Amino acid sequence: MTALVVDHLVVRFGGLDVIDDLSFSVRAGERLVIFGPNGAGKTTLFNVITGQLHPTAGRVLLFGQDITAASVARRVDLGLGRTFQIATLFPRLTVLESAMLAVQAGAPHRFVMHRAVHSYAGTRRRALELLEAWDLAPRADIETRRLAYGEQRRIELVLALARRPRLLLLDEPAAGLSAEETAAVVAMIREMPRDVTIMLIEHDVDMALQLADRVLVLQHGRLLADGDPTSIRHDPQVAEVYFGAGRG
Amino acid sequence: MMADVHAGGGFRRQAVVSAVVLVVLAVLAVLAALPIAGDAYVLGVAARMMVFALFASSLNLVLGFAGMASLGHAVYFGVGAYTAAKLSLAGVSGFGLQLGMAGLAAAALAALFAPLILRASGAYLLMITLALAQVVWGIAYGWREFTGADDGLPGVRRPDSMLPWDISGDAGFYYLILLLFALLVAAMLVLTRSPFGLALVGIRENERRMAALGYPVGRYKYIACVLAGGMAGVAGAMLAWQNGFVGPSCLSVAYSATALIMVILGGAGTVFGPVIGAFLIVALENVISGLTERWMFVLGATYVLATLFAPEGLVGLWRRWAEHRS
Repeated sequence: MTALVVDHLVVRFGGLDVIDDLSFSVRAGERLVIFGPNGAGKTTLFNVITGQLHPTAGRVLLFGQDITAASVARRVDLGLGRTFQIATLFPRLTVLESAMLAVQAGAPHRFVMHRAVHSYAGTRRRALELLEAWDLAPRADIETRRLAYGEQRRIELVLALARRPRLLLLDEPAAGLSAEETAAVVAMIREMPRDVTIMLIEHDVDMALQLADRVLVLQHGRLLADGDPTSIRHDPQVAEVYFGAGRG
Repeated sequence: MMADVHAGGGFRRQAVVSAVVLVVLAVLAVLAALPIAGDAYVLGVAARMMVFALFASSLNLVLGFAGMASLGHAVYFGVGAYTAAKLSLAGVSGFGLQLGMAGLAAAALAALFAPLILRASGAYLLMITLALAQVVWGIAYGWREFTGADDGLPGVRRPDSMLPWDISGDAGFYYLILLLFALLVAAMLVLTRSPFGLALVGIRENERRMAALGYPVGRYKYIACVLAGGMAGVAGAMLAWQNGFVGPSCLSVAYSATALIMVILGGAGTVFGPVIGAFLIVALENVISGLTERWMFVLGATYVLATLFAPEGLVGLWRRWAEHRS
């Protein structure tokens, strides 16, 4: 089954083609890492897939459905989840409240006005489970803004996972983390069940290659290379564009 | 075990909650005992405090919880007041009918304005809310046959109630206001702790993230606008009864700004903050207006001091103090 199809996608800002006739598809269950230098169009691609940005031309299909014009909420209902490059959290909500808010997003009671949030035992249990899984349970009652950076990055993942997405887009989930924290995040992502398809933007080559089944390399909004991690590592073209800066 | 995790640090929170409950009960007891002294002036001031507390609380729902500023919230307050006044003058004396129609009229106006308001943010949001309110103010000010223009509508009578006590007297009427006040503040407490209330706070804290989680952000904001408008309308009807008169000033930007200051002074995004802010401002107004004509100047200075020294309001100040102490 195909999780995602990107079909002749074009995103133009002014005169600049940030994404220039890009096509690829992602199999269900795949771990796809997207490489590319700054400005290659990686985050723009994510924004188009999640619906924050509308493409100039082309189509996006999510699990077989054309979502090119669908609202963000509709895409989430179809099983799309994402994290942001810069942690975008709820600073003055506690960790548990944030998690409950994310779990409740898919629940029929999200518009209820006359009952306390905490009385929804199922929502609360699922939120606590997520916090437990990501080692955040001891911080449940602390305001998000008071947490350390590494913990905030983990909340970012909790929020993205709360609605059990089938396709998860991770925009540099380990950015700014220590080596130890990065290793923990990599381990968590590796442990995620295979019924979740994962697309990952990552600059850290080692981390990316540990996680990837397949690597796409973007440059100037176009596909430069598409293959398994080993072949990408040895692709001279990729080495020039992507790893070249390190050598030069 | 999971329950234990969440209970961690709960002792202090419980102590804070009990302290708040005690203070609220004490304030309610004082308000309930006030008619025993029987001073009509004091009762009038206290009733006005509660009416403005509800008005400020309604603004707080959009400003403090949903994160949408407004410089025109008095439009709903005023429309509620005019609706009650027109009904009263037309001989419709039922209390429930007047209150319901005032709330509905204001909510309907909010439902009409909300699509325009939801398009804007930041400074534009202030401008559009101000502009819409000024249009309605202009109508009230200009349409002599219907609204009495700047003479307003005098002779508004207190409604008939189905309550077990007589509300024609000052004390009886005061208890009606107290009852409505207590009910609506309790409703705010319930609403802000509900899934809907949490979602509003989420939108205030991070609208983009809420959308990415799949929340229909626009629909939440729309509902919040309509609810806030309706609640302001109800408060407006209470003002009309209390004053026995409605004029265009209750729709004016001065009233909108006063509500804004009440919310900010007390603490936006908290249930009790706007109540505290309204009580203080109304009390201050009554003290100051006996001393000087320059009430607006004092109000402005209060606002400047609040934003400088208590940007999260008095409730925020108290919370920080409580945190520091523990």
